[in-house]
Parts: sequence; structure tokens; C-alpha cells
Amino acid sequence: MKLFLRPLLLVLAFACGGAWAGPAYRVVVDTGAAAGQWGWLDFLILGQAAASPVHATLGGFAGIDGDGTAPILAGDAATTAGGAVLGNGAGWNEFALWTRFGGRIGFDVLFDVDPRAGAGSTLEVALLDAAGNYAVAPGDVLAFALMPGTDPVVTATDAVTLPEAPAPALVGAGLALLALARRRTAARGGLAGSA
Amino acid sequence: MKNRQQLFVRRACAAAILSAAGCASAATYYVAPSGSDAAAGTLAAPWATIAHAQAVAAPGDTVYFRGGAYVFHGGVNACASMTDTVNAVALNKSGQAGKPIRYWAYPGEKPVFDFAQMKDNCRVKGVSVTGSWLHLKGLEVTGAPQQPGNLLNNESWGVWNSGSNNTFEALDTHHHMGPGMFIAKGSNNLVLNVDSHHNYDPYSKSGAGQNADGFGVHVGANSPGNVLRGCRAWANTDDGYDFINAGSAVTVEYSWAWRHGYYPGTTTSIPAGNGNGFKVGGYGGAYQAGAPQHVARFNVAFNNKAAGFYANHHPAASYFYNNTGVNNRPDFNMLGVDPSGAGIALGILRNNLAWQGTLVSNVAGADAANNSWNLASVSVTSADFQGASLDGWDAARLPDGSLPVLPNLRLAAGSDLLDKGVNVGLPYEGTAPDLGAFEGSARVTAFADATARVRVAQSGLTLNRATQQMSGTLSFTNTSTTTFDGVLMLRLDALTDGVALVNRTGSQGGAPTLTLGAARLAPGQTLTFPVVFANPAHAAVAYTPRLFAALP
Repeated sequence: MKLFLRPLLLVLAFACGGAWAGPAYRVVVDTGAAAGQWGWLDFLILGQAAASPVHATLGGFAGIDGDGTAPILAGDAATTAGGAVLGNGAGWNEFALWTRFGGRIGFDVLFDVDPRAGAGSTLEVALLDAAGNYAVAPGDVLAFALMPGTDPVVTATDAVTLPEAPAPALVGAGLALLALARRRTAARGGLAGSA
Repeated sequence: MKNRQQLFVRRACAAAILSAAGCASAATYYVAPSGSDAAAGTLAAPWATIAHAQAVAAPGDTVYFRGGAYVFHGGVNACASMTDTVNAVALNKSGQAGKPIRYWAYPGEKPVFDFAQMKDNCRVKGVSVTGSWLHLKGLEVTGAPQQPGNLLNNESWGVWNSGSNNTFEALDTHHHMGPGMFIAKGSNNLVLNVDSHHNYDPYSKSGAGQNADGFGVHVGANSPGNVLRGCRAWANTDDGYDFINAGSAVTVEYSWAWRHGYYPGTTTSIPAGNGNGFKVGGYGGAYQAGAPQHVARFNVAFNNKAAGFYANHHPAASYFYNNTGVNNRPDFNMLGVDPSGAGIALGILRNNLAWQGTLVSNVAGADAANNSWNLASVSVTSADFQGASLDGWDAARLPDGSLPVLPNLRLAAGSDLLDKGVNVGLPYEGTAPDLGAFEGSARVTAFADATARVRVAQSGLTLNRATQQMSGTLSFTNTSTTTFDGVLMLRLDALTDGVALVNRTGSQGGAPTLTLGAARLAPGQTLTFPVVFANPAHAAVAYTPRLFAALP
């Protein structure tokens, strides 16, 4: 799959009103290249000690064809009613959903990026087999490179479409998840940053 | 279903699990200037004092000190008289063989133990170490005072030791009214990569400035194994290194000494300050049977008021191998003493290099061979060196505490001083050892730290699941008005344990480096380095990025 950059302005970015709230995206991934396989839709943020705090609220999942296998959570990650909140507070922060590939999978991402100076973070999205290897061509299908105070840079394969801005309802859902994430982050306080 | 998750996470966690299983059971504690001794001693809730830390710590434990000032206003004991001695810090609990108690600076931070506010009207030991199997590392120690008006004593001390098997590493001990580092007793102590400078005792009864050495080792008989390595002494009013009255052999190697015998920071002679770089032995001019043979090798002394290397009336011939003396008075003085008390030349000198100033005195009759002054086939000029500067020797140490790598006084390719030494059982390159402190003529590039003149942007990391390597970028934008043109070097200091920079091109002081041979970074321009890490334990990657520009 050929990688290409999509400038942020061609994607959708909109202010959500919160002091930290960053842009939100509706993502659709065509998993046809891995049709027939079972595997993981994987979200990963690698932590760095100098990174500005980041949270990615994931929700609005569609097209997940699971069999009841529980999602994987690692590091600074927590499930929510409709998805998960993934941070960068540990070295390895991961959320993964088990699914049968072949169809189109959709989800929303809402970023919450501390604008204060610090290192960046990248949310990677990959299709993985049961052992954690790439299920299709090597590499992520999608990555959001986040730097404090700048717009995200989105890198995606041809399998990914970012069709339109989320509907207001989705924005509302994202903001609700964001609020939940903040409460969870606050509750876990002292554990943040430990690898 | 559970098996799928287990399979998935197995590879990801295996290294981390193994790493955790391998951890020792020794405890780690933390102390911070803003801490409280009523706290838990954790990173989040540190203690406040080293005294409390010592009370809790057991052999094998590590106490980390966060950066900042630890200011002392009085000793742990009181002056019983004006000639008494008080300790500000008293380390009297010992570790064990293989299980030292470690008092270390928190990585990347500088804790400063400051005794200058003490008003105790007697002698002061800033850090008094009477315990053994201790390891002090990365601490800055300053200001052990004398009190004006009390001229009944000689020096106070920065760090004073009577224990054995202790390691003093990467300390910066300075501006004391007495020696910076003093080994009074004990065996098998290692003083490693320690700086001692600007020490001056203005209120000593024997004369202002006469007792502030950089390093003093004055152990008695049957106290073997004391070694100073990779140390620097400068701008102390007395001597750089002083082994007077030592009854056991002391080794000093790979160490530097300059500008002694002057008021600190000046070239004004202080009358009572002796001013030798390396004072290797002696007993106040008296003969003493059974005196040890000290060892001084691979050292550099320059610009000292008196001798660079001085035998100081020592009754035995000490070993002086591969030392460099420049512009001292003289560079080498081998004045010894015989049983009758008469002065003689004593010393075993091989492969030494003397240049500028008075080269030698009292060497006639000493066991001297293959030194620059007694080889007719060599002459010493500035062309023999990659750099002849006597400035810049106080440059920042490398990340692991080792000495900065400078071209100064290193031999240049084609020098007639190469391979002119004689084999004394120490490592060398070529057909024979070279003359002087630095072996070989490999080109050394001097770098200036440009980090303060750039803005750093550190990208997020991405994972390659096939290689398990993590990739990102480091970008430096030139915020100065200077163009950096030539070799640029990125160095990652204090990189997380267990994390390796895969695309490194070298290392400096234990830190990985990435060098660009022909770079140009004009004002406002940005230069980006790719960085690739191996991080099997999936730790949060931490490091301090530094950018260096080669000096022309």
C-alpha cells in the first residue's frame, strides 16, 4: 500500500471548545486486503518521558465483527461505554479490538492535546494478526502525528478514508468521552507517567 | 479467547517480565530539597535529609538525590572548642562487599550540598565519611568554611574520608576553605572522575592558602589500593594532588592539574600556597625508611606556580610514566632525600613529556629514560600537538563523568614523539609507547555545545512491528545569529536504561551520538535527525538531546 500524506486542512479539524480539545476525525478502514483473517484493529501510542500529555478518545465503532474476545488494554488506556481512551502516560499504551477482517471498519477519534511545550506523540492504527504481526502489508494503516501547538499530521494508506467531519452528535459523544477521560486521568493521578 | 490475548501480548511483554524478574531486591529511596523526612522516601514523596536516608538505608540500597540546593546551617555536632571539628554530613553506616550503599544524584540532575552558611566556630568536615563500602556519585559539594577571626586551626575539608572500599565518583567539590577531597585513612578507595577546584583556606594558622589542595591522600602504613583516576584539580591555592605523609602507595592516573599556588581565578601568587600540580610523596623533608613508591601515570600538569610533578623530598623512587608537563616551574622535579637527610634525585621516569617553562630539575641521578628531555632524537614544538591550547580544560565532562575529549596536547600525526617511549607494561599503540599522557595520534575533534542556541522539537515515536524498533525525529532550529557550518553531532544524554539508539554513529562518554559530517545550520534553519530506538522493555523513552558543533 502506498503511503501518502494528507494535509490537515484537507481532513477535518475543528475546535471542540475545550482548552485542550484538538481535532476530531471520522475514519473508515477498508480491511478487504485481509479478508477472511481474524485479527486486531490496534491503536498504539508509544510514550516518551518528555511528551506533552495526549489523550485520544476512540468511539463510534462500526463494522467490528468480533466473537466476544475481550479488547486488549495496555499502559495508559481505559475502556469507555462506546470505546476507549488512550493516553501517552506509559511507555506502551495500547487498545485493540478483535475482529474478522474483510469489511469496512469505522471509528471516531477525538484528540485532547496539551498545548504546552513538550515532545510529540503519535497515534498509530494497524491491522494485526493474532500474534501481533501486520495482517496485511507492513506498516500502520493510519497514523496521527501530534506536536503540541501545531496541527496533527495524518499519514494513511489507500485503505483509509477520512470522509467527512463528524456529525454534531458524534462531537457531543466525543466531548462526553473526553470528560470521562479527564475524570479517569485525574483519578489515576500518581500512576501517570510510570512505564 | 483468552489465548488470543495471551499470544498477542506474549512477545510484547516477555522482555519486560524478564527484566522485572531480574531486578534485585535492594531498595531505592529518594531525597529532595522540598521533601520531608516524614514522607515515604519515594520518588513522589521524597525525604529531605541525607541523615534520614542513611538511618533507613541498608547495604545494597540506593538513595537518589534530586537536583537543587541542600543548604546546611550547622554541624550534626557542636564545636566543643574553637579547635574542635564538626561534621555537616556524617556517613558512618557501612555497606558490605558487593552491596554498597549508594548516595547518587538523580540521573540528569545536580544536587548541591552547600555548607557556606555554617557558622560553627571550629573546623568543618562538609561530608565526613567514616563508613566503608559506600558509593557517592554525581554530588556537588561546596563551601565548607573556616570562620574569620579563628586562626587557631588549619584547613576545613570538603569531603573527608577514613573508610575503606569507598567510591567517590563524579563529584564536583569546590570553594571550600581547605581541600576539596581528602583521604585521611583507609584502603582501596577509588576517587573517580572527580573535580576539585577553587579551594582556598584564608584563615589557616600556617598561612593563608597553604592547606587547600585539590586532592589530599595521607593514609598511613598498610593502607593500600587508594586510586585517583580521571580527576581534575585547578585553581586551588596549595597543590593539585598532595600525597605528603602517605605511608602506603597511592596511584594517580589519567588526571589533570593546572593553575595552583595562585589566588583562585587569578595569576597572583599566594605566598603560602605551594603550587605544585602533583606532589607525589614526602615527609616534610625527613627521611623515612620503608616509604612507598607512588605511581603517577598518564597525567597532565600545566601552568602551575611550582612543579608540575614533584617528588617532594620523598625517600623512595616513585613511578612517573607517560606524564605531560607544560609551563611549570619546573615540569618535573625529582628532589628526594637519602638516609642522611641529604637531597638526591629519586624517581623512575619513563615516557614523560616536558615542554615550556623549566623542563626539569633534580633529575640527574634519577632513573630516567625515554623522556622528551633525555632523548636526543626528539624536539618538542607546538607542531607536535593537535592543539597546544592550555585553555578549555575545565570543559564539561562527558555524560558518564569521564574527562572531556580535547585535542590539546595530544600528539599530531607525524610528531617525532610518537613511538619514542619504552614498554613499561602498559597498553600502547604502534611499535612503542608514545611520549606524554595521550597515546596515539588519532584525530580528535573539539566540539562546542550548541544546545542553548537551538530550539529542539522531538516527534512522537512509531513502531515497526517487524523489527520492534521505534522511530522518530529530532529537529533543531537555530535560534542564534551564528551559522553552524561543518560537523554537527547529536548526543542523547541520560538515555533510558535498556533503550539503545540503533542508528548511532558513535558514542561519547557512554552516550550515543549521531554525527553529520558536512552540515550547515544557518540562523532560522532547521536540521532534522532521524532516531531509531531498540526498546525491548517498552519503557517510556527519556533522554536529554544535545547538539554540538565542531570547532574549526
